[in-house]
Amino acid sequence: MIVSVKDLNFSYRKRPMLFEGLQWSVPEGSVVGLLGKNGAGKSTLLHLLSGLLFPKSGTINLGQHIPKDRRPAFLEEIFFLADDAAYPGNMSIGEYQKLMGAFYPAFDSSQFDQILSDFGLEKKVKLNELSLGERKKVFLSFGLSTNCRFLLFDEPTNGLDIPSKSVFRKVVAGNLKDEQTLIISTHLVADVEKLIDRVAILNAGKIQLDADLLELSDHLLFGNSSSLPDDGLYAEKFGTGYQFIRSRKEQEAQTPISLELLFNAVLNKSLSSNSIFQTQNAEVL
Amino acid sequence: MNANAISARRIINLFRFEFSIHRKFYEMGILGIFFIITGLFVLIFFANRYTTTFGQSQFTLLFYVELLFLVFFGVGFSFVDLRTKRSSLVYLSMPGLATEKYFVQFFTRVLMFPVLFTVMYILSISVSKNLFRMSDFTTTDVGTSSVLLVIDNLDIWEMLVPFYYYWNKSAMAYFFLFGIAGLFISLMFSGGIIFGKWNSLLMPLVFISFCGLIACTPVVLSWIVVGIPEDPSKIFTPQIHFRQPKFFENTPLLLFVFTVLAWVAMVFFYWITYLKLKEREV
Repeated sequence: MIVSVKDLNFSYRKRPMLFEGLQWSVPEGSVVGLLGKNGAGKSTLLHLLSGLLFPKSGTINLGQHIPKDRRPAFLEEIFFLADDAAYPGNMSIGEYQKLMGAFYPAFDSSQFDQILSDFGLEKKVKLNELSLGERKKVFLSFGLSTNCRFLLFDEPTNGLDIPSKSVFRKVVAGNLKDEQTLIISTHLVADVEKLIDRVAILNAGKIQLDADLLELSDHLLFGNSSSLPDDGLYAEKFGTGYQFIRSRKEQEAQTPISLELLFNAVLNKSLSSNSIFQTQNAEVL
Repeated sequence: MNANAISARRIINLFRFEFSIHRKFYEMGILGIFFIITGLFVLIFFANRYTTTFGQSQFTLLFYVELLFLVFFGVGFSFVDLRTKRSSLVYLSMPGLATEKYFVQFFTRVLMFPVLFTVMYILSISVSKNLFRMSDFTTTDVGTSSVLLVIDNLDIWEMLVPFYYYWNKSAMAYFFLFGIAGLFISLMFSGGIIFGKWNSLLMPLVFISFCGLIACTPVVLSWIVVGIPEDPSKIFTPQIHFRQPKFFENTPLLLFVFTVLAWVAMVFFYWITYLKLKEREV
């Protein structure tokens, strides 16, 4: 596992514990959607992973690096796209690229130019002349061009208009290399649905569900019905009928995963990694 | 190459970052210092135009008074990027050792600023003298009395090491003075990371309190050892003769102790600053 979090305890000063004994691991090359309610600690977890916050106890490893040490070898391999990072407004995009790109040994200027043009932006424009969404696109382009092994995006689609969200998905999917691991924290589930290959749901200080989407679609069936299904693991009212999740039988066709429904099911404690994969684990054992 | 060893490439990048991100601060600071000092000297020369001389001692005195302001608003503006959460996030995420980031701040604030200031000060004096001389013709043309003021040529060495010329004291007295001055600079430097934007106000208060503590020590020690005098007029007069015992030649023990404390504290605050940078969270 390229990202490994063990027995993590963390709280802000004079605040109750946010994470208590949090365990999490991410395989190399994954694109993980880190989902959670507002205040669940998604951004805090990303700050901990990037070494901007320190755990009270427990260990965090990204590859061979300990983020807390903030050693250059680690910082050169991680790019954290924060929702509210400062930017030099009087600089043009080109100047920003030259200045900040120099810090990342694997930074690729031609890749940056390409992504920028995919987003329809020009390098000569100053950062303070851009809208919030446009600036987000610049920093996204920059982050992807750093070619860091670890990419942490905090609410990357915040401020993007609808066409840009689609470009965002294409750009991210088209620019990730096999050895790169991307963790996207968001509450806009639909924006990342087609992009991620793994989902982690953070709730009440723990990772309640951490699963590969392919495995999930192997085990679960997502559907709609006019009446409440008897064998449903979770169901919720949807228009005049119900949306539900139930265990998938072997002969049944796989259905697309509804992340929103899955998220609600996990928050309502109807689903967890254990309950979903119980059967499989029993078989393995 | 070990990526975690100190790297010249990263230090250069950090300098580029510092000068690019805070370009306005440097431009305004350097030009501001030049114009303010030039304007100040032109005003002083005009105000004193009918007196006889403006000498080296006044240049030296003003140099140190203005240098004090530089410590407040130059050295005190260390680690500006750690003042807000948004900028801290960028600064701490930038690939670089805490040592490298510290070095860039130390170099620009503690070493580069005083050198730049000295150059600006010398230039300003030269420009303001020429401006004043040029204006001589204007004043005589309108029929007023001709200007009498003679301005000394600036002796740079005398300005930079005035103690050597004016103050013949023991070596320990110099050590004490430099220790206190150095401590103030290190406090202002560390204040940038401790107090953030309130540094220029709060750290001088801390320093004044520290000096007050030093000044009060003989009095409080007298109260403890001898007792509080009954005569209210003598309550703040030290009852113990602190000029004895003497340590080295002509050095009272107390002066020696304070000197050592000041130098240790100076190093300590530079070290604290480094640790604060290393342990900073956002």
